[in-house]
Amino acid sequence: MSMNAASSSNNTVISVAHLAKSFGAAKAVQDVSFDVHAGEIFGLLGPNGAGKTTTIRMILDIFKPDKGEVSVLGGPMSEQKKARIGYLPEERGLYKDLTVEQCVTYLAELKGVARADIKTRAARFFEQFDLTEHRRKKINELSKGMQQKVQIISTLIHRPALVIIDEPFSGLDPVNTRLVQDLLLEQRAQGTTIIMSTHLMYQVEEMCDRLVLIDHGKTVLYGGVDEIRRSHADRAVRVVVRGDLPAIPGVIETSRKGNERTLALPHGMEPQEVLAALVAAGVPIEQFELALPTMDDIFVKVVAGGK
Amino acid sequence: MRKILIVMRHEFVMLITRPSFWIALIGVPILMAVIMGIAIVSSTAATASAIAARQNRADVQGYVDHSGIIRALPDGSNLRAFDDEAGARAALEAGAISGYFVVPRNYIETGAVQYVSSEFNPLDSPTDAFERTINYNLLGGDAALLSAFNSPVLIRTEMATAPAEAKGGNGGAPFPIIPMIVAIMFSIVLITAASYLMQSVTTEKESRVIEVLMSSLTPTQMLAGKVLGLGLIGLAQMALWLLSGLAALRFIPAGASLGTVDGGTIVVALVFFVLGYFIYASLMAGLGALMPGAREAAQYTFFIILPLFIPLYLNTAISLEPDGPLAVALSLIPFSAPVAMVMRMTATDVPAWQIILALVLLVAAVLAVITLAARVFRAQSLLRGTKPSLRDIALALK
Repeated sequence: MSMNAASSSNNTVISVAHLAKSFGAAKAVQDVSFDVHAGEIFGLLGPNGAGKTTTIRMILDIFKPDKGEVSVLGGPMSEQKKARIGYLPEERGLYKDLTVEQCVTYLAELKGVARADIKTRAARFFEQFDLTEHRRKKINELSKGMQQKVQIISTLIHRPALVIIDEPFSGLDPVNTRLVQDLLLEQRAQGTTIIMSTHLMYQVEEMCDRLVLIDHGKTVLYGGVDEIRRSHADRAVRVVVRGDLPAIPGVIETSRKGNERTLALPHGMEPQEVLAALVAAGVPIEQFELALPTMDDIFVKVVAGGK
Repeated sequence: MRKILIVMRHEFVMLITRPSFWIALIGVPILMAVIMGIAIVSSTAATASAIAARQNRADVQGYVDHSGIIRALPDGSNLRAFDDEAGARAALEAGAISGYFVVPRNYIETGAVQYVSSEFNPLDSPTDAFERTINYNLLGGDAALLSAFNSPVLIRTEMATAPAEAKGGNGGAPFPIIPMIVAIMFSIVLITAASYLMQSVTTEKESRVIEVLMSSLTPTQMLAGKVLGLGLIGLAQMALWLLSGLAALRFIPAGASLGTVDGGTIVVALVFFVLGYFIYASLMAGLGALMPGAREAAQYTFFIILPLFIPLYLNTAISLEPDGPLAVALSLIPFSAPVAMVMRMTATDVPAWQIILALVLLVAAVLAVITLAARVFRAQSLLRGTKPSLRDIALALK
């Protein structure tokens, strides 16, 4: 993961400070702050209704914040900047009565791409997404997954420097999920900054460099993915050995799942001591790792803890 | 500006790919031609050839005149006078006449005439010829004046309600059908253009494409592109219809004066059309922005277009009395002016000050309505997926 490279960069693409937004009596966002660095995939996480979409809309200048500051690509939003941003909202759709080509063309034109460029770029995307033979079909003749692919093409065709993508994998089968995943990683490799909002925590672990977790309109967790997982780790290691596990002084075997045992460590004991003890005992070790919590565990813990 | 043009072109393409657009574009003039055709046929039914054809027929009608109106018969009448109904009935039973008319003593007050016949044939009724005879006598036996009476239907109506009118004012002119046709055309184009606009907004809301658009466009750019794009199509449609209508007028026989339309009227009419379009398009766009979908919006459409229908409901009053207080008021009120003023202009010479006043009021109303629509046409309304509460609407208008 390129987390270290990304976080050490001072090149901030988005800076959000103490955002707040209410609709009538409902406080959608109360206090959200985070920075997004150039060339990273940034996870924007939170339970339903936490204020993610409202935050995104404020970043995009669709909504004006009641309080707080937003800086995008080095300052306030402008007409020119809109052409450098690709947005795929959670509530998304296409013109059902237009063909794939017409639809992609219109949305790309609004982003300032010349017609000739649209043609060549779209052709390449259609090829990549297996849509070439469907390009003259109307949107409502396509399957949901195909529509989703058209939406992703529309989000990327103007080669944005910043992509904001809400639930990119919803409605996709495993093959297409992998396709989109690879596409986003490829975009990152090309230097595109990506904000991704998703409920699929394994995707966050796999793809995101850093993340912010919002709950009840407030930032509750913010930082690098690995860093967050380590800071939420219980003091434990996961071990798989061939044969019986010898008794290691100070360690309590807390659970066993198949061959895998999770050993809880008392305060002051380092994981290395367990490893040294196992090696000293001459036990064949098949697996040894820190018992890092999954993002799923952390999400549930933090969000449930906040209630 | 570039984005507004892109939206305009997009709306244009979306509209012309709809079959309903082409059906309306071609179907309405055909429908109008049929209506005009019927009007012409009925208004020229009493031309010389038609009269001659009817007079050549051998059948003789009788009449009993208690009112003493009929003192002379126009040339070529196949009418036979009877002193009383008994004599006429005897002649009918004997086959000497195929029917007879009874003009009551109080004919002038009631305008009612009774016709007794052994057979009923609505397609070949002799009543027109008898009406001519009555008219001929009411006109003092002047054949030239009689020939000016080429719309018998109207005469009957006039006499039943206001007999004095029959001799002066509009009474002698045929029913002016052009104002009504123009009014219908105007209303159709205004309503369809404004409805397309509303549909275009609700389609984008319902298909959820709106939020993607909002990341590329401001609501104002979106609104401007839609209003201008669909407005230009509406204007082209209206101009096409008006010009083809004008061309069709040249084929109408000289005797059938149905109203007046000239080039100047068309230009002024198009100005009223454009302003009227802005009012209704803005209202419909605002409605579309407030409502979550087409179905919810449709529930309120009627209330918005209602003012357009008022001049249509009252078309007889406006056409027959184009300078009356009702017609003048409707042509000055901005919401009915686009239709009512144009109806009046085709029916009479509207004083220039009234046209100017109507335009000033209309422009003021356009500015007010566009301001309101722009207030409603904002992200928060456009992205709302539920029906707005009154409070939401009040907030949106603030």
